Amino acid sequence: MSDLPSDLEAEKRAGMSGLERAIARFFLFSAGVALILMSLLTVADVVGRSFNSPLPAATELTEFLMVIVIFCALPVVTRRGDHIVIDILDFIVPPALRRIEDVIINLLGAVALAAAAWRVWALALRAADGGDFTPYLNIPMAPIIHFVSFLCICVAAAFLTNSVRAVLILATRK
Amino acid sequence: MTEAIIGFVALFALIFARMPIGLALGIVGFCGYAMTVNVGPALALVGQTVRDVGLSYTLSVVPMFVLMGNLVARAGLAQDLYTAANAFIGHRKGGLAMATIIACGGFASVSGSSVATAATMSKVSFPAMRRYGYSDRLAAGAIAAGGTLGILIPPSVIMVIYGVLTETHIGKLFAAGLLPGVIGILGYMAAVRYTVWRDPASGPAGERVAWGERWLVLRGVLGVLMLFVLVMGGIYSGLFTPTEAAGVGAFGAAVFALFRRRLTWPIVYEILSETARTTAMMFFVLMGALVFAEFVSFSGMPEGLVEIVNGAGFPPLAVLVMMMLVYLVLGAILDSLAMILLTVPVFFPIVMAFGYDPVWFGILVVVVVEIGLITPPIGLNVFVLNAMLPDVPASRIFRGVVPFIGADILRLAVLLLFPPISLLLPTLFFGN
Repeated sequence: MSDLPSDLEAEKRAGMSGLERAIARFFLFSAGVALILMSLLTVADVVGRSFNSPLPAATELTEFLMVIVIFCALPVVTRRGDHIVIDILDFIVPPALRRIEDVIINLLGAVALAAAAWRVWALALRAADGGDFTPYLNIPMAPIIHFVSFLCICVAAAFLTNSVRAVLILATRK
Repeated sequence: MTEAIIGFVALFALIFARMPIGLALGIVGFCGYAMTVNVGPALALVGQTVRDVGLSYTLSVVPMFVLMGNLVARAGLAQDLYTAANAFIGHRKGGLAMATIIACGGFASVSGSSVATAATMSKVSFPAMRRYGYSDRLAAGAIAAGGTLGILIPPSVIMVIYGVLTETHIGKLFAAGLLPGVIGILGYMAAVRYTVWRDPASGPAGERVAWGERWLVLRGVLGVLMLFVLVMGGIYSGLFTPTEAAGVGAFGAAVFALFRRRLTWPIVYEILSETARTTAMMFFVLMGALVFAEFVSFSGMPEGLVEIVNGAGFPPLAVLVMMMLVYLVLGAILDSLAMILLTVPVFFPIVMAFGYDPVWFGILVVVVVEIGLITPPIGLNVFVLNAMLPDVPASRIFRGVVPFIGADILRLAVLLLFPPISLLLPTLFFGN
């Protein structure tokens, strides 16, 4: 049923080191746990509501879980090169040129995500200054936004690793 | 307006250079916004978009429906659906292929993804069709086409994205997809009959099943029905919102898979990992697309187009037909999510200026995007099948799909000319 390659295949193809694999598995595991919690939380809220005891905090907790699902999986998807790309021109582009494309594209990705991380970090600082808290549980927003920023850096690092790897492949081929 | 056009050209150049679509959207959107406004606001836009999309409650519907679909795919429901459909029509000419279409429709009612529908059905129905001597063309064509029903018959991840993007009622969109979905099933069955009529050897009749046994296998469909009623019934009765329905549906699918003893720890890990990665892939494109959309709307392109269209006095229907043609062309190069995210911010204001119903336009867009899933050169469903069935070349699948594309174009025309087909159920369930 899988439209994506299995974990092991994808990791091998991307040339991930043992440490990278361990980190990737940890990230995916965290995202998976967040998915389960998200579903349970919704059911608890819906069932609770029919017994007049809804969970008003479900909304804000779901938002946090969303952050974990998306941003923990994003560095893995990036490092594995699973992003949606259009490769219909592959048959006319010579392999060497494709590698050069890989170097440049991944480098641009690293810069873009680093910039995003920087701006999100600024938003986190603002949330800390403004004393932003969630409405029901009074959880401070700043650490969560810092966490998003940190994971954007991880995505940038994944792009950078891919770029370096493409350079190395180019260098060894000659 | 000129800036936006340059932006679109740059975007396609980057996409064809194999830049991830989300990244290309984000970079072009950022540069465009920085040039039309300034660098500071453009940077702020990127940061705000990443934060808002990440912390979005409404969008939690996406991973939950993806999870539900992945669970259902592993629960063995597809096999039950196919067995049941086969028992009733398998003994007719082309019957196994028609049963495939019906089972795809049933599976689509608990899965929000076309790719998952095609991939799951290929494992179930392709071996059976091959055993009965069906031609690869008909067998693979039926699965690839039937799979596209996944995003039209609710729940549908693509409809959710359209609903979030245009602030259209997701429950109404889901209701609106039902009748066009049924028409789609009938059209595809006609396409199977046509193929068999042209070449009787391509789809011989299967075995007849006695009535007693037919009712027996029908019980296997009960699970799908329960899940569908749980999700849709909950939305329509107001018991929960569409966003919550996704979480409840995922839970229901998990209970179901557990009940059927289909879940081992490695499978659970795989389902969760795949769901998380699919979600991340979609959200990466979504974030880029939102930055790009902000640039496009700031450049004044939508208003400019509305002005041009009004000034030239084109009849609204002709404009809609042109839009559909744009989708058919784009469908040949882009995947469904990117297509919706790119075009809707530009087209939607025009359609609204004509006073059309946003729900109806949503259905048209989903149907036309469906066609893109099976048209060459990059029909996504065809490639999924090609990966699942390595001994059937993509060219053969594309040829098998031709009669189904014919049925699709016909359906699109019917839906375009008769809006009530799409709008009857939403009005019935939700009023105006």
